[in-house]
Amino acid sequence: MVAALARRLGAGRIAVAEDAVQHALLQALSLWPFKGVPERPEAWLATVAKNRALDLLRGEVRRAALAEDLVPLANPTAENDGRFDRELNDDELALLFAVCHPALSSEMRVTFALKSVCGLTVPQIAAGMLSETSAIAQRLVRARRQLEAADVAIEPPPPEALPERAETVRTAIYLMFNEGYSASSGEALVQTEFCVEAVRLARALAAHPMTMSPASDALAALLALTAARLPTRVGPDGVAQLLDEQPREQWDRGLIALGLAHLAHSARGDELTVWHLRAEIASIHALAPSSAETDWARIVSIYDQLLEVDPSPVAQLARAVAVGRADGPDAGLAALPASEDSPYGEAARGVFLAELGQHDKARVHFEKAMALARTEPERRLMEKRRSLP
Amino acid sequence: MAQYMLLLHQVPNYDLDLPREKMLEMTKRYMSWAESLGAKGKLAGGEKLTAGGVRLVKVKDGKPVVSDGPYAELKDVVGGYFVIEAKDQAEAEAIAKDCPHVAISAANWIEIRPIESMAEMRAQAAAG
Amino acid sequence: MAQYMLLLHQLPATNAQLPPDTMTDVVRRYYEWAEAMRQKGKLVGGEKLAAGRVRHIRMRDGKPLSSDGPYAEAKDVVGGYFVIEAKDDAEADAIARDCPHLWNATNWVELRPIDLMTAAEAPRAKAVG
Repeated sequence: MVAALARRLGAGRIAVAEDAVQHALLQALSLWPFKGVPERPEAWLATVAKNRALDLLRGEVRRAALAEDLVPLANPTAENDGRFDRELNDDELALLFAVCHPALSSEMRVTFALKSVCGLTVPQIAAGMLSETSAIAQRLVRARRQLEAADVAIEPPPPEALPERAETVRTAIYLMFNEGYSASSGEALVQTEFCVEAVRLARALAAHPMTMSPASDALAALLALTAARLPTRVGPDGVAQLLDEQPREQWDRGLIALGLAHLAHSARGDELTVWHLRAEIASIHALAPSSAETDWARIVSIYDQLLEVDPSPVAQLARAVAVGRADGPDAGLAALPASEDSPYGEAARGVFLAELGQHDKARVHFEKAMALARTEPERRLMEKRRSLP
Repeated sequence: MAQYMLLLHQVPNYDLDLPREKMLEMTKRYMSWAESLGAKGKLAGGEKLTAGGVRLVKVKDGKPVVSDGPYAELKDVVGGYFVIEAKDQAEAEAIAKDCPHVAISAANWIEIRPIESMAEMRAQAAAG
Repeated sequence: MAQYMLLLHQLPATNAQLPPDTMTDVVRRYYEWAEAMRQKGKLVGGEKLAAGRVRHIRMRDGKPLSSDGPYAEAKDVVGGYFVIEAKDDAEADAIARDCPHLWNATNWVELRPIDLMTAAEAPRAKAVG
């Protein structure tokens, strides 16, 4: 594990990697007498080591702006050193495939992967999978029981078994990215480490001969194109910036180029997956010089396709916002799904009403949005929207 | 969310001469504070420690040796502890300030110690 | 059955600069002892306490005030604690003598019986989460 991490950090940092990671591992182990052994000790230790390596990576190179954290992603480095062996040479990816076991349902696999490999907490997983914390906890218990009953070992599967598990691995990586891009709890809006890891994993997935596929490329495209917007995600006032407000010249050009390359590569063959659709939307934003000059009508039609396969409330809401941009606030209001407890839904309603000059009604919805906010960053965003003209 | 230990310091045996009703009243104050904390999901543990029966184990000539603790001669002892859940140090302090222990006697004080966890250690590593 | 608290005392600097081999050895000894005690039902609780960031709360002019407490400068600190179950004082003593915390001659263990009478009367503090 240390050798693999040292490889990622680069030849000049091996000694530092070994010492610091070993120290972190020992520190973590010193908790075991008091807390007992964690559920999955190998995965847990792997996470500790990986986290320490990430901290080192961030600390060592003095990086002032968020954008600089993303530089290693945009530049091809020695990590994907072209070793096309049959085995997955990425430890974390191997672990992800190992836990996405066919003995479990898709939902269980994703939940299990997010917990044991990606390092998400149960509440974070619940937020990402639009579920309740208790349901997720129960699902994890059932997953373990099923694995025990099926008497399967959690280990990297043979290369032939990889394609079949790939979709659940993709979903887990996507949800991990989302949690990093829009944290479901806590003081910070963004947790860069999740985004960085997810992009890395998606690219590793797209690069490996046994897992490369149009869908993997599309996922890598989606995540790279979205991560490109991270430098402008949070404004100078510390509040989230909406797409129209983000200064697009600060978007990461390298990641956009990378994303577009993956997108082009994903167009080979005739497979069209949800990843393709989402990546396409992300590319439209990435290439548009401004919000006003965005082809919103095209975005609406892609959401129409997306909703046929994945009718999620999040997608419905995003489609309604796009309709509002393409056809005006009346159409946008009509396209909004019936109220559920979403601060973003209420805020969207407020924005459309304000555009129609109905400021008093708009205010009611903005107040509701603030009340429904689940995190402090969310609340501050809703507060800001309320005070916009 | 993080956990903190509140060590309840006091003068040894300060409550030995108190009449029974006073003792009960004090116990009730601690208990109702603990209950309300528990109702908010912020209490993770706690115990009262006996005044007597203290023993110390030290290494002498490479061997562990048990001896009676000099409890009565000390100026300050730990009379008990609580383990609480708080989102950060500031909240832990607010909770501790509310604990009846400090109000009961001017010689009482509370020591707050963060409990080690993975999140703790990462925060320390990132800061240092 | 009675419960006892083992407060693990040490010098503040003791664990800071341990070479990895020693640290590995020490951690293993704690872990093996703790696991064995847990299996026998004798270890029922415990926490490791973080170094530093000690705060003190005391009353001043009728108001509770907080201030920094010493750690690095202190002559003695508590690095953690265990809660054990033993049938009597003699057994508690034996367990405490065996505690791996005594791997270092400057470490010591404070053995405190837990006040069961209060525990019986009080609502059991509910473990969180």
